[in-house]
Parts: sequence; C-alpha cells; structure tokens
Amino acid sequence: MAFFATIRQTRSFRYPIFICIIAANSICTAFAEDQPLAPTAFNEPDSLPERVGVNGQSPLVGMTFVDDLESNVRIHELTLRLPSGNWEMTCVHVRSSDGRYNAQLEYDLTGVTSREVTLSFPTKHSAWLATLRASELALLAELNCHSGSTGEPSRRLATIGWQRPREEPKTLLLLINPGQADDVKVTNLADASRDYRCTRLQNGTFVSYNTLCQLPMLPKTSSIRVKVQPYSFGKKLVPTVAEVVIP
Amino acid sequence: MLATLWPIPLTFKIKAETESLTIQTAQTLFPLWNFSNAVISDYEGNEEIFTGPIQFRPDVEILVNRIGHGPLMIRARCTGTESSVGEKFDENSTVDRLPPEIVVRVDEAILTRSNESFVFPVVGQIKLGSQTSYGGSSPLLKEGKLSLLCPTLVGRSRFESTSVDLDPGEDVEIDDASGPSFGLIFVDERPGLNASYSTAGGEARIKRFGSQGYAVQGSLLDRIANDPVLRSFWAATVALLGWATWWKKDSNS
Repeated sequence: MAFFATIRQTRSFRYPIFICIIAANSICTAFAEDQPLAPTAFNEPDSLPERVGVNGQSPLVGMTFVDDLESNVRIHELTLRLPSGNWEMTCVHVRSSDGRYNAQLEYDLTGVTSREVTLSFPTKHSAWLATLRASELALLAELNCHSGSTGEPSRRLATIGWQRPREEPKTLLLLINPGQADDVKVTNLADASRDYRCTRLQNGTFVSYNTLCQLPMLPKTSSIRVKVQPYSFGKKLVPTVAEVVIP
Repeated sequence: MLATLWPIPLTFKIKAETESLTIQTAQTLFPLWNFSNAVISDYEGNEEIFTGPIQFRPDVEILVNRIGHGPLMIRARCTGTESSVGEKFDENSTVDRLPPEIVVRVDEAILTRSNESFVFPVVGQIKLGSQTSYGGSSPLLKEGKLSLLCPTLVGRSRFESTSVDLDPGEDVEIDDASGPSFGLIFVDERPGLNASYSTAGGEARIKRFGSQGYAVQGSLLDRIANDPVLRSFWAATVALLGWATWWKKDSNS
C-alpha cells in the first residue's frame, strides 16, 4: 500500500520502472548463472575402442567431491567449485576406469563470479557414459591451464563433480593410478601429522586407475596441498603433490 | 529325482604356481609363520634381521611376492582399527609388538639352500595373482588349476564337478565364501611361490587385467554328469523305465 501511495504522491512512474528494470536484471543474471557454461574446446574420441593400451600417465587421474561413488553419473552437466579469484580457464579431463574413454574439455571462466559453476558436457557418447558409476569415470579440473594441457598435477586443481553437492563436501576423493606401487597414502600437507591409506576399487574394470583415496578437508581453508605417496614394499616411490583450491 | 535339485555345499580347490598372492586374515587365529634370517623393516626404513615366528592378527592384509628366483617379499598392513599387524617371537621367547605396517624380506641365498624350504600355513581370504599389473616387472600368476568339489549324493566322499586351468596373468578370487580359505604356501628352490588351498562356498571369479572376468560355479549338468552316485541312480532309473516300457509293450502284444 505504501508503495502505491508513494507512486500516487510523486505522480511519477519513474520509481516502478526503475524497480522493474532492477528485477528484470536480477532475473536475467540468475538465469545466466544457471545456464551451463559451454566448453570452448572439446577433444573426445569419435569411437570407443574395444581394446586399450596402458601407458604411463600421471598417478592422479581424478579428484572429485561425489557423495555416492556407486551411483550412476548424471552425464550432461558438471559442477565446478571455485573460490573467489581471477580464473581465466579450466581444463577438465574425463577418463573412464576401463581406459576406453579419455576426453579433455576447456572452459572460459572470465567473468565467472559464482562459487559453483555448471559446465555443460556435450558428449556424443552419453548413452554409454551414463551406464558408468561415479567410481568408473574420473574427473580432474585444472585451473588456468594452457590449451592442450596434459593435466600434470603440479598445477592448481579445483574440485569438480557430476552433480551439485547436497551440502558442503567434507571429503576429497582422489582416483589414483598406482603403477608399480602396492600401497598408496595421501596427506594434506597442512596437517602432515596424519596420512590416509588408499583402498583398491572393486567390482569393475580398472585400467586407467584402480585406487581410491579419501582425504578429509580441513574447515576454513582456501587451498590445500595434497601429497600422494606411493610405496613398493615399504619403499617410498616418487610422490605427486597438487594444490587444490577450495571455495 | 528331487535330490538332484537339492542345494549342496561346494568347495573350491586351488593349486597354483604364482609370483604374487594376497591374504586378508580372518577373525580366527592365524598360524605362525617361521622365518630364518629375514629382514624386517617398517615404512620409515628401520631394519632388523630376525629369526623366529611371526603371528599376524585379524584384519591384516598380507601381500606375498616372489618374482622368479628372487627374494621373498612380504608386506603386511592393518586394514582395520588395529595399530599392529601382529607379534614376533624371537629365539629368547621375547614377544615384540609389530608396527601397523611391515615388510619382511628373505633373500634368495637363504631360499635356494637345498636343505631348506619355507612353508607358510594360511587361514583367511586369499586372492591369487597380481594386483599391480601396469607393466614392467609385475609379479604374475604363472599357472594353476581350480577344481570345484561337490559331495556325492550318498556317503561322505567328494567328486570333481568341474575344473578350470588358470593361465598366466589371471587373478583368482572367491566371492561370498562361507568361511576363510585354508591352505599352504611353499617357498623353496623352485621359482615363485607354490600355493595350494581350498575354500568352501561362494563363487570363483577369474579376472585378467582390464577385464571383468568370468565366474566359476557348480552347474546342475556338471553334477549329473560327474557325481558317480547320482549317475548310477539316473542310469538305473532310465534302465528301469526302458525295461518297464518294453515289458508293457511286450505284454500288450
């Protein structure tokens, strides 16, 4: 009532028009933020090979915040979690555990302000990929990467998942290719007093990776340094250290 | 006839020459493993030479590797909440608690002595073959045989229902077993490890790196074809039916 009284008193429509413009702008902004970000480059295989070769790729194959590793992936969208900062682009690596699918996507993050960014994943193999469980399709998001990046884990990484987390993720899940190692441990270097043993993934075909590490995230941290330490009969092999940014 | 369909307990009997196997210790008492001049180390690199028995606790994963005529490597680690993989008893009967992860190494010179061989009794869940098959110097299952034993319909003996040859590079695991596996590992002047064990119940899964593998279960056909008692019973029944039919025809004519 007071609103209409104000209009009547001022005898002007400038105020409601101003309000409408602001409201329309907010709706447009919200709609724009909900629109998935399309990739600027997408490199995926045309066909899925029946036989795959095994090569010496980086030990850290995936890093995600999935709630349930046994549920099937929701294939069309990805959720990238970002802290505030000037991020230029992200390279997302998607690898299936059986080694048949290996794709790289690049997204332009210029001007993105949201903490959770929805990324579109316009794959032509969605029917096959949708049959995989979250533990069978690894995601790795590299920040401010260069075009054609191979995903070397010395760079900065962001957490990424197949769907929006229902609540603030408390655990970071790392998918590892242990190579010749018979044991793998992960450490948050901010809390180096404690390391966490990784476990072998069961019930599936695991060629690209076969080990799952769960690392609890310390609260109120903007980034953590994660160390993946493989062992062969007690002897330390070359570790992998990655910096992970957390919103 | 109904007895043919009656479910019967199955036993898997496995004999293999392998370079790697993994044991998950059961809640039952694990047998003592005797060592001679073994080097025990922890993950921090502290080493000691040890002669005597070691007893592993429940919820410990023991990985046993030996490639060719090389050293015997054993890695044990806790998989539960325990803070020790077990105890070691030295020659003075002193009991020492072991750390949560240890590596035991027995050098090839000790293993290839002609008058000495190591026998390790095993109780637990056994996985045969390598878990690290990413090329290079990976330990593998060399060869073996998996037999499925079933009890005969009458009596206490068992018959071989079916058998599968195990090929190089395969992994063997028994899922949903009704209890732990029991068996022995032999380490001597022969290359690798020789394992022989049996497991009651469940389903054997044979996998090769990169594949989902296949399952081995007892089938009704195998049972009918191989159980000597059941086979005799069915043969007698068919003969009796044949004779009855012939007698009926003969009496009608």
